[in-house]
Amino acid sequence: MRSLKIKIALLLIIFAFFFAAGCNDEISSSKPEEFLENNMIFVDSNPQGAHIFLDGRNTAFVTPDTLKWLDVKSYDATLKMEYFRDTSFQITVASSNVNNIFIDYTMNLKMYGAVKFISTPSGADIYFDGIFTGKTTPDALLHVFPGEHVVIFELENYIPDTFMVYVYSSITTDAVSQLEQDSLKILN
Amino acid sequence: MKILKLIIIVAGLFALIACEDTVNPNDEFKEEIALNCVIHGDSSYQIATVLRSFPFGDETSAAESFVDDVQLRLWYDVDEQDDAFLFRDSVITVQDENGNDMKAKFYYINGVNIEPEKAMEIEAILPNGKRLFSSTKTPEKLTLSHDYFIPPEEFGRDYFHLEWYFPEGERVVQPRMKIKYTYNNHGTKEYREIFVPVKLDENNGSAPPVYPSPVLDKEIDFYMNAIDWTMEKISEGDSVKENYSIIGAEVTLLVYDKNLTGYYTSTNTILDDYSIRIDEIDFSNIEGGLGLFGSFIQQKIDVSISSNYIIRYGYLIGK
Repeated sequence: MRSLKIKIALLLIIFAFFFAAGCNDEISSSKPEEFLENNMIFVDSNPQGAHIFLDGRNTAFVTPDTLKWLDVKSYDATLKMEYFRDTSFQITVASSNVNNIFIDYTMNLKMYGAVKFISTPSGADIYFDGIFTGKTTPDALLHVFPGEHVVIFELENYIPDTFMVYVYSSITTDAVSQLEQDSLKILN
Repeated sequence: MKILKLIIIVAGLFALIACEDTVNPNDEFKEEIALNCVIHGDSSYQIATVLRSFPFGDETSAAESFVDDVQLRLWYDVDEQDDAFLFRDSVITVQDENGNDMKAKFYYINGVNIEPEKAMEIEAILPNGKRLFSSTKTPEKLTLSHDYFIPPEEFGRDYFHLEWYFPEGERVVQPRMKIKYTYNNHGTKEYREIFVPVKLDENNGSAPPVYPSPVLDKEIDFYMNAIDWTMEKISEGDSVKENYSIIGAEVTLLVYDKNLTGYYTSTNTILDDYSIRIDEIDFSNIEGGLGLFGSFIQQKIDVSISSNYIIRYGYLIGK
């Protein structure tokens, strides 16, 4: 009788163990959801409108803008803008504060280009973006800010020629024109 | 021994009852997020939606299920150009199934003109930091073989035949044919187009037109009686046939990419930017959520319509 009681007690203990284990349904096959931290950095440039790349990837953001959802780490950043050399730098994203990055293209001499002015015949006055340069063809302007510029050549008895030049960083652009004689002035 | 058996039986029953799980469909509702974006090869304007699911029986409207303030970006030609686009949000009024006006919010980008075989990626980051991601590749161009004239040059054949070949795997293709013509409206030339059915349903008494739908097949025939019907339809009710000048026909083929083909074959649903539903979970290619990211390209074929055929209807030959 006593051994029977022991057997019953033993069975109850075993049963209780399996019961406790069997009812534990905290088993999940799905991965816990991951959420990004909203670490930010504000990037601006002069001039504005540069495309922001991080670790070689186009972010789709253009200066000035705030890049969000970044990892806390250092990134290789590049600003790309038409006519300008790429500007590369490193940014370190911190979790606690919004970093500000400002790139001033005008402060970097390598960003500038040059324009060589050539006309036929030579001796034409050179106007650059509407301002007389004090120079006559053939001549050149150094340290020209990249972008689209308007050139005018003026020479007596010739029709003034106005045209666009596209200046790129570290490149000398030729502004060339074949001036046409002004027949009305010659007749007069 | 009987006591022992009794204890085991009672304990077993107790265990069964105690371990029973109560099933409640509304309990512990898990929100799912669906990102849907189909890049259209016939447009530079692209649309995407980010929607959240809602509990069964909830009367949440489509506009309310829209997730605002998502940072949504598309990368095009990832391997070479790596152009990136940031979606903006907008809202339009559309009509629901009952004809009632409803707001439909969406994200959009402009200036994305896709070409064949370009890798694309899309990423959505929700205001809570949840990230959804997907990638696709625009399909290769189809190699085409088709008739060049309507009616076909082969004597006695009563259908315009078009077949295509895709180098790898299966692709859904959506063919369409339209006739281009001008209408002389009191001296002003108006350009018009009319879509051509593939056939007329002869089994039905009124023989209604049957328009082409997306197919996994590799060929399609536009029957001449359907083309005849379309030619008549151009000037239906107008006795002055000389006001109509037929320019020609154009066949367009929308070629679905692998993802879009998978979505179409699993749901059999025709493309509609606003009708991709969050509960269509048969197909999803979005990491971190549900939905569809796919693309299709468009191929066009110009088809000449013979002068004799045009004149038969009293129309002029247009340019």
